[in-house]
Amino acid sequence: MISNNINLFVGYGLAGVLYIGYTVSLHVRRRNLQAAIASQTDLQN
Amino acid sequence: MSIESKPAARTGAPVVTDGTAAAHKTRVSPLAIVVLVMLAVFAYFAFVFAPEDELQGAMQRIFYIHVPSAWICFVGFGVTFLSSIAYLSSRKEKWDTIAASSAEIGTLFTTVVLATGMMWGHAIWGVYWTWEPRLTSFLVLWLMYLGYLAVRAYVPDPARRARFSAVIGIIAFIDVPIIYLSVNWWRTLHPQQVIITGDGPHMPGAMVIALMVGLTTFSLVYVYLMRLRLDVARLATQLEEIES
Repeated sequence: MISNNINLFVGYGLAGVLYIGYTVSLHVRRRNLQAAIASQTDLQN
Repeated sequence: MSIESKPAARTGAPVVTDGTAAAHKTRVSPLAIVVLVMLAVFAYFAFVFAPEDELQGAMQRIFYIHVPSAWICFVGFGVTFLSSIAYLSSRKEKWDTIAASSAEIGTLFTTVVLATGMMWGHAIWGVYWTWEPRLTSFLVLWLMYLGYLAVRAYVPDPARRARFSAVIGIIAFIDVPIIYLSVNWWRTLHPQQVIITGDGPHMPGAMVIALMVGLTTFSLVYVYLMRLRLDVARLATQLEEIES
């Protein structure tokens, strides 16, 4: 039963890490792109 | 997860005053709030509302994330399949973008299915992995979509990349019905279908409700991630246009 609970915890933990990690990576990518667009637009102006 | 930022203006290029990220407004989208609330509701239904299984104990509760993730990964690859067909017939770039975004998110869901399935298998079968039809066909699906993403990452020409990946997106989807029917076609260690059966669900009503809450929650997670991923693709295209 203890092994069961550890596996349940690890299973949900892995899922959480994957979902949250991917979401954060998308936010970071978007923020970087926005910053790059902003600096390029400034250069052109 | 809940913070979204957007350009100061939606019409054409963003309005920029100082060239820094501070030029963008930061706000919390209503969809992000709904997703966060639904995740809390899901946690309640999965860990409190649903009764504990007599045979498997607490470990059975991994079912409420494992099965919805599997169903949503099929939806994700279904969107890739249909968008790939639409791209090949119309050659419109938007279909390629939708196909690629959905494949990336579908691969994420597939990874979760494999990870949670391995934990469940170890607790119930005593092994993390066994080469039986359902698991093997699911692993093949995961590898095919990793191949899809590799093609997108390493083919430099956009037109060739879109064409190659559309063909892979169509062929790879053939594995989805094989996975679904594998428990009927072959003798497998994996459990048979317990929800969609000829004579109704083969599990207590409270468990079915918890599963439906999980399905709703992860459908919203998929929609949220798709919106975010499409936003990233739009900005990447915008940057390319500015730089060229």
